[in-house]
Amino acid sequence: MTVKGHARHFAPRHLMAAAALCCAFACQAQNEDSRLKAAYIFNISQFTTWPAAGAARPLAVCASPAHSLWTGLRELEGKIAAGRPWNVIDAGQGRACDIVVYSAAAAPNAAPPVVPGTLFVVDGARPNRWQGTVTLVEEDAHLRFDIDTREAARAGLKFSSRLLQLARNVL
Amino acid sequence: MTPIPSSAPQIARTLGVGQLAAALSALVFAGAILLGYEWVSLRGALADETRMQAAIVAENVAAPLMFGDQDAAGEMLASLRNADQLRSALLYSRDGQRFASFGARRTGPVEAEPAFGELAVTQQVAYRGQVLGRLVLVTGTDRILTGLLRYAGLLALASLGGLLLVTVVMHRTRARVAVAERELHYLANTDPVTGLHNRRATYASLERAIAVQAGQGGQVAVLLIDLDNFKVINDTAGHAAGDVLLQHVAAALGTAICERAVVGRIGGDEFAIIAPVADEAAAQAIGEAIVAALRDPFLLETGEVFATASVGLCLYPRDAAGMTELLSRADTALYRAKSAGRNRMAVFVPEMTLAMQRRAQMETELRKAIETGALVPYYQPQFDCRTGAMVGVEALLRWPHPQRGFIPPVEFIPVAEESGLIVELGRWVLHRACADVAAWDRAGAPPLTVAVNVSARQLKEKGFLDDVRAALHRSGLAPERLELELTESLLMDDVEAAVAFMHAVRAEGVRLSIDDFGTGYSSLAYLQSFPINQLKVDRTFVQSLPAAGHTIATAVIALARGFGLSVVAEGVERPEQLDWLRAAGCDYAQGYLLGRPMPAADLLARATTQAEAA
Repeated sequence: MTVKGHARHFAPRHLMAAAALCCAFACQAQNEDSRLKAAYIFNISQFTTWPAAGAARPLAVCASPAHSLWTGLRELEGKIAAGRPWNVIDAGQGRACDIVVYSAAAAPNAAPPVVPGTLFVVDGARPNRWQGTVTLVEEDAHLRFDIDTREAARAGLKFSSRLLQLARNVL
Repeated sequence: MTPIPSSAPQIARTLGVGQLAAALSALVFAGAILLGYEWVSLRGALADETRMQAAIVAENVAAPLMFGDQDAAGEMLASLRNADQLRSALLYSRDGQRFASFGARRTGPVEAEPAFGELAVTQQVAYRGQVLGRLVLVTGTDRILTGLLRYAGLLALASLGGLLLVTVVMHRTRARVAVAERELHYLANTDPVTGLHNRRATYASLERAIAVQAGQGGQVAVLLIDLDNFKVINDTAGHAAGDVLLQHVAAALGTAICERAVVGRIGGDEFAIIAPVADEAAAQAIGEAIVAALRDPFLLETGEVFATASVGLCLYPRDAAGMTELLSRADTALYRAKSAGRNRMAVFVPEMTLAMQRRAQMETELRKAIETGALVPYYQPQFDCRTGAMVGVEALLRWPHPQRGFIPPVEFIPVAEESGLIVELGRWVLHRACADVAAWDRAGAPPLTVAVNVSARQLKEKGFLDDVRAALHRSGLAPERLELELTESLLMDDVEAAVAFMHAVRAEGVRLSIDDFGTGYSSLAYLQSFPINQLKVDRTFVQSLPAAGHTIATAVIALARGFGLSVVAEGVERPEQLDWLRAAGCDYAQGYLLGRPMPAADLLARATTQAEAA
């Protein structure tokens, strides 16, 4: 799945045009943003080497329904990512998660205890605070991401070099 | 004398040019196929290489395509900058939009269209089974062209080397073929004995000469030369000596003619000279020179021999316009020269053709006359000079022609001799004469001897002696009453065979007589070895008697006496001749004075009358 079409919407002129025209489109713009980020997370999961233990079950994606990405993530429900069906669940249910998506605001400040095989994604830059394994950031009207390979190593996850090539920062 | 034309080695040249052309075409053909194959291979290799590059790049651009990172995709495509043949790389998203490119014109068409001299390879971009887009790499084919040029150069060099090698080998082969060809040409056109043109080459020369002179309005002399007594020399001195003689003759002919003339040996003892001449006088001069040159004896190991020749001459275009007619006319003239006594030249005149035709007609008629029994035997009586009694007859042949009356023997006997009819005629006369004389005996005539002429052809027939026996047996005539008359020249043709024959005939009891004694090349030595009974004095000596010629007549009679032979004189026409002969001691005489040749019935009548009178 490509996200080329969405990325183009982030071109500066488009963004400015969107802002200048009408705030009535604000909701729609937010939806687009949510979809793009959800697609990023979906794609990142594809370039991630998951522990073999969970291969038989769906890929559990935990997020808060209050998070702006919830809708975008839910739209991908059932799709096959890394060979497993995408399954979005409420983070509050306390079920085992393969991917945990935090908003910048909701993310813990310090690193949570290591949960093997779990990928933590933080939506938004948070300087000097814990930023999860993958951090989605907006830069020059482009959606980019940072990868913390140490966090990934702790959780026993590996990323494809091709993914690392695209990352803004690799720690 | 014109040498045998040495033909340019046609086969060798054709072989050389042909083989070189064949080798070149083969090389061009093979080169074209190899270049085609090389082009396909190089193009295939380039396509494979490009496809591999595309596969690698497609793998790498999957992630940027998924994350919509055009810059990253562009950078990845830009990594192809080191691929020297690559012209452009275009990455299309799944919806067909250009996502990233490298080296492509920004304003160009969305789809990559490979131009002439370019090769496009399309590779699907997919990740985990999901098609993300496609990558098109357009590569230049300069490398194929360079490779092809290099290959063509190498091929040309190798071909050149190969051709050089072939040329060297071919040169040798060609040289050998040329030598063989020249030898073949020489053998095909040369008489192996004399080294002169052979029949084929001579005729070809004649044809050429006619063609040349026809254009220039000139004349060509054709001379056919036949050695008069080559067969005798060949038979007596051997074939090796015959060959040496032919070589001498060839050399003599070569010196007797001008430079522009061609001498060829066209048969066993037949030569031909083809000479462009200004007029008939020049042609005759050549003929005379040849006759003169061959008049001198040639020195062989066995001794000196004379190889006189008869020459027949005709002229182009006066006598004939074509080669065949010319040769035929020259042959007619040659025949005339031979029949006129040999050792001479005869120039063709149209009457000769007429004579030949008449001769051919005579042969036909003679053949018919023999078949229908139209010929009749005549008998001329022979008398004892002392008593005047008829003692014998000479059998002669007469041909009463239904239109032309009696045809003289001098006209038809030569025709019979040449056509071979003489054998049959001679046999018939022999049988008939024996039968007639035996019949006269029974009719009461006194016992007469009968002389029958034998020709050279008869003598050569193996069954002749049997014929003689059969004639005697069938008629019941006593052998000693039959006398065979042989001519000198007939005996000299083949002395050994003649002597053998004479002994065999004598053993049968038959008498032998030499006809026309003293007219030919008589050898007195042979006379001693010949088992003969009688000599016949030729009419030419008798006719001049008694005023002249008695020296020879006396000598012949004396010679006969010395050898114990009887003598008969022919052609006695006047009483004084008979008187002289009687006085000289001649035994027998025949001639118009005593009795003309007459039919059998008349002779019987005369013989019986004479017997009764006696």
